[in-house]
Amino acid sequence: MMHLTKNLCVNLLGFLGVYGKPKDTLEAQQDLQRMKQRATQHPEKRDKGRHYLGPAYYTLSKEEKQSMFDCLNSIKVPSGYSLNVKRLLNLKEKKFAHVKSHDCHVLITQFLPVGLRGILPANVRATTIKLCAFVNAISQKAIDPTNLIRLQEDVVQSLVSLEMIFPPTFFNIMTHLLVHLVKRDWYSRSYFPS
Amino acid sequence: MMPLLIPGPKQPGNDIDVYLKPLIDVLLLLWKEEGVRVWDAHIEAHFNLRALLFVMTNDWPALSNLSGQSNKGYRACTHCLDETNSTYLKHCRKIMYMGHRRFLPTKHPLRRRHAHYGGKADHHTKPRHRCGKILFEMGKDVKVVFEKGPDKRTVQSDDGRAPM
Repeated sequence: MMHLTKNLCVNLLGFLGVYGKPKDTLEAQQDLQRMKQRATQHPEKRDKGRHYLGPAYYTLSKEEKQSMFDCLNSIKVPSGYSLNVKRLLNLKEKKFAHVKSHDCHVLITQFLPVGLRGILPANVRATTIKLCAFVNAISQKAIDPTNLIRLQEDVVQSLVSLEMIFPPTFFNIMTHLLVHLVKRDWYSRSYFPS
Repeated sequence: MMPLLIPGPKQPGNDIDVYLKPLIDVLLLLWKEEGVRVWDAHIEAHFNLRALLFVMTNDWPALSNLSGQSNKGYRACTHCLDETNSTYLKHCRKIMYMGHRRFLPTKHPLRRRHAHYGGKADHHTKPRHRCGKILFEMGKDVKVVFEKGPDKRTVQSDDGRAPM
């Protein structure tokens, strides 16, 4: 679970364009073209073997990044709750840096849904926030077993919607494992009936 | 609780089974009906101690060594096993695990043909859950050859079977 949250968070931030290298590359778009999906995001050929890559709608624009970073920069939390979020932000380049495992956990369960409010197209935002809500729900200490079926439906729906939004490179094995989280939780819980 | 930390480039990999064998022998002994006679100092009497392996906590790379399953390549998912849905991306040179529509209910509208999915419908069922008996049947004939040759290459066994 710990590794999963970290990998998922870094992956998500990478595709939003605020962590690491840009993920909307020529190769990713060529793969989309090969799979005959999303005609709006195919590379256009230019002379001298160059390509024009249109901006992907899931990456944050300059103003959106500014709004998200302003929001995260102003967050204040009780002492001992989490790290100081300001330390993660590279305000000059508008990127996250030095995120560690627990930082990712707090980011994806608490801060990211807040920071994403009012930016991004509605479908991208809603799906991302739904996924964050799922991660938050599944990482609670106490989960109501009657809720597990609903949680499984939630995560499958958000993964299916993410397949429509992000390019296939988003779906590495760690993202796929989200589907099996609820099942694993169900079995580990059956040993501790309460 | 038994913590174990094996770092570094010289880790035993699949050969960890050799080191785990004594543990498994002891666990088999403790699983039996009669257990092991142990002295309880608190109530000052003998009792039969029984134990079981409850849960293992490990990271993703260690999972492949401990469980003996593959967790990379086309069949990377240790839950879906041979029903893993994977695609090779030619330009990114990566293997991706998509096709989450098969986890949806059978008559969900998104399972129908959709432009986002190359205009294809998905009628696959989700991978079935396999209990311990079936998993044991699947893996019982796998021949494991331990030890590595020079340059950490795997050595061919005598009967021509490739080691795990």
